[in-house]
Amino acid sequence: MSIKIENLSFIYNPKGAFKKEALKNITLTINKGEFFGIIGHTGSGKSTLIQHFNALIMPQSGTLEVAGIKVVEGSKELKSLRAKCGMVFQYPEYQLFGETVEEDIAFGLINFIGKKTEKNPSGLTDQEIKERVKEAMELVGLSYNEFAMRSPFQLSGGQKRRVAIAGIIVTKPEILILDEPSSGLDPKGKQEILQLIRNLKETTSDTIIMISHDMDEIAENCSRVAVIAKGEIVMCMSPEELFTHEEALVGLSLDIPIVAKVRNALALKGIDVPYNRDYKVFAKTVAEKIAGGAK
Amino acid sequence: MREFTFGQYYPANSVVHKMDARAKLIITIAFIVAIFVVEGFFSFIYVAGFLVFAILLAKLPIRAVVKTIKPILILVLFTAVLNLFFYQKGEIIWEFGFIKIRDEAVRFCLYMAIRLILLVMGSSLMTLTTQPVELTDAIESLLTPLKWVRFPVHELALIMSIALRYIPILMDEADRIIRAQKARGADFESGNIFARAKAMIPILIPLLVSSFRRANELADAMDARCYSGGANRTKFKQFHIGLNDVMGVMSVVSLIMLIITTNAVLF
Ligand SMILES: Nc1ncnc2c1ncn2[C@@H]1O[C@H](COP(=O)(O)OP(=O)(O)OP(=O)(O)O)[C@@H](O)[C@H]1O
Ligand SMILES: [Mg+2]
Repeated sequence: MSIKIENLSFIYNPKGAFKKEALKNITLTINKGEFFGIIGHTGSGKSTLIQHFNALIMPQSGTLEVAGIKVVEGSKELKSLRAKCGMVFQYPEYQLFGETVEEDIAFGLINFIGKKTEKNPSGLTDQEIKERVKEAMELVGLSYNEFAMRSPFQLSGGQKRRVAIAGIIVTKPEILILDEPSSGLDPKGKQEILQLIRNLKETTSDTIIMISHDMDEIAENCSRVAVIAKGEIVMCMSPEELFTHEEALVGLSLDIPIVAKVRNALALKGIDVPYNRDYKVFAKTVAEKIAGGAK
Repeated sequence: MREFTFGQYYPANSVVHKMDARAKLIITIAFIVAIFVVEGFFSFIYVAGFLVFAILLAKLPIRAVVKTIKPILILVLFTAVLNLFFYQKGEIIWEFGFIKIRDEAVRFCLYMAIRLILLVMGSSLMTLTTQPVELTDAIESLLTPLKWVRFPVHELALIMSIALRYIPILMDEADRIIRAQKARGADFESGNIFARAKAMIPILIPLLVSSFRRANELADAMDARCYSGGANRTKFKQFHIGLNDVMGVMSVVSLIMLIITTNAVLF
């Protein structure tokens, strides 16, 4: 088990005039090897929830265990937790600061593992750091020779985002959390970032947790989805099953992929075929079913 | 983070919140004058009474107002202690080695501490009950006569309101960046002072970059809406002087009169 959450609640400014109940009694288990999606209307508490996972927000009530580490105030293991559980914030390009792309990507590596010195014999040599940065850059599709020495501020939006992601995966986290990784990109940029995330699942980070506003993205990638509304988990299941609850989702201002809508409409007409994320496969099964029924 | 902004607007439905911001500004200034007119210890009771009455009228929890003096408490204590030892007038009432404490010094320190605390609480009461935009509008309105000497009153007010508006945004942004860098293992708490100063770089640079970006976006947005300064602009919220405003100003004037009479009687 990768992440185990029990009865987690969270209130912003519990004593002030701006009190805001952001999470209510969340219980959820995310298994190792999952590609887990979180979806919900804006302000529903998605970002608040995932920031608990690497102890950026401490649980106020309830318990949380991530990669075998209990998240509690004052725990000595929080730094190693953050190394194991990488977090890509929404618009991560706004956290870049390095003079060069290489320096920026190496930041996390140096913080978590450190440079090799007499006091820190398990640290990395300059050569090793360079190798790791190069590897991370290649994983996000940036050529080391071309980009390593450039200023991150002179890159395009999509390239900046890749640099920011490289800066997280450089430590090879077991769990990778991404908060709306494709927001603000054009359709091609979106596809590329998602392809990149799928590749990361195969290479560095076995467990992926992704927040998204886009049901198509969820349908295409996730094995399981949690729907959050007003700080509560209202549903948690596979995308295929989720899309059969069309009305409930519409009530939560969430849309489902057009193929799923067609599937539900056909089901009402008595042609009940399973949803498939590949619309061609879906069309084929429908055609076969109709042909079979006509026989 | 958001809690930190001291004296930040505290919404409530009260007469004080609804008062004309110009009247509140004048009352606050008069109140500050009153604090410094006081000569006898006794008059502080009037001033404090006035303040407590205003807080009750504003329906603010006393805690919210008292909390605003926290940031200056150190300053008050520090200056009070320094003055206690170095103020040179009056009779020596206590002596220990080279430390001499005089009666006048004790009086002076107490006065100063009380004045500072009343001053901060009084002006916080104003910012707690007035939206920043109203406040800058009020300043603009009160400074209007200066337009005759070609002083750019409107521009000044605009700069102030933009600055005030952006403080909470920048604080949120800083908060976000701090968390993002913490996720990359940044450590702001350990190490000596140089290490800590260096640890600030990954926060300050992105913050600076985003401030410039925001400034540019704002300038573009203003351009796109053909913003061209103060002439002939109308306000979304118009000021209206009401009975409450007149009564407020009159009561603070009476407060000053009361203090002056007390001073005259006692000295
Ligand atoms: N620092 C904060 N202080 C007070 N309230 C906050 C803070 N951060 C978030 N909130 C509030 O908590 C609620 C949940 O916020 P959160 O950022 O988790 O939403 P979200 O689901 O990530 O939304 P989005 O899709 O817009 O990113 C919102 O109502 C928000 O206004
Ligand atoms: Mg969010």
